Amino acid sequence: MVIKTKQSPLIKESILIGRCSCDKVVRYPFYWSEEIIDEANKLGMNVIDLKKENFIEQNILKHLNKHNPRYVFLNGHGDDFSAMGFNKSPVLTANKNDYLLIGRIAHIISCKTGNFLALCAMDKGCEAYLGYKDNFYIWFIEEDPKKDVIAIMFQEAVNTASRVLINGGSVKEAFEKSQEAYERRINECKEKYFDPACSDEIRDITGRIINALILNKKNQVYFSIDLA
Amino acid sequence: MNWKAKPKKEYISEKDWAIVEERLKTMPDKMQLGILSSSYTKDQLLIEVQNKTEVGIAYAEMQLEFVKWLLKQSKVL
Repeated sequence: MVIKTKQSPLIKESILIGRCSCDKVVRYPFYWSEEIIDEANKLGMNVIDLKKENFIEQNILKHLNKHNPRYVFLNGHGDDFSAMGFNKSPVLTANKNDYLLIGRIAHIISCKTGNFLALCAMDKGCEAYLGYKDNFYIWFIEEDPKKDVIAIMFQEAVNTASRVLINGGSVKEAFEKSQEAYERRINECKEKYFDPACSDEIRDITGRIINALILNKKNQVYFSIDLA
Repeated sequence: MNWKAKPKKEYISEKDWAIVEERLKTMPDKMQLGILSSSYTKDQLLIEVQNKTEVGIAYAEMQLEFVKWLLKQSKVL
């Protein structure tokens, strides 16, 4: 179902959010997006929420043309060439429909789309692209994302960037704030890791979480053209 | 045992470095890039590429992979 909030005459910006919950992993970014949708609604933005079976290529095309959103935030699987939606169907593909990002700011939470898709989109005239050039890692311990205290560390870094963007910050700021969030969480985990009271089991898990956070921090990339 | 990895820049030929530099020069002046946890302007990135630093190598690898892929996509008459 496509949920569209009421549009007031003062609304200037639209945001398109794509998210799916087809498997255990993408269920997390799906849930994280709700925080951004709430904030965008509070800011009076026109939110186009393409979720689950609506997160498909045809709907992306339709809603980008209809609402012309400045921001496109996609959450799902991805590879070097495509950002994927419902059931891993490609929704944005390099040299196919990357032109849809012309003049827009994209934040793509997925693996590897910071490579060819980002470069192709930027070559075509995308204003800015924030994503990951290699795998995007998530660690979780609960089946329910709402209860997961570990996944929050990843959520914070992702949503910090989205929040900066929808509040009018630059992509550089969004990147830097997100990097700070990763760094802060890495340091928190390191403290836990080196705590003598920490059990071997917790230390092992903490070590793996630190690795995931470090890799996400390292793999995060942005490209931006200042049009001002 | 020597754990130090061989510097990657040796695997990028001078011709490839030239391609990366030329491609970077064609980018808009107001381009910015965030890579390996830091932000760079076009001019700063150009210096990184010319000096073949870690950032320069990461950017070069990304661009060269992309150019290779673009070439595969192109049709030849």
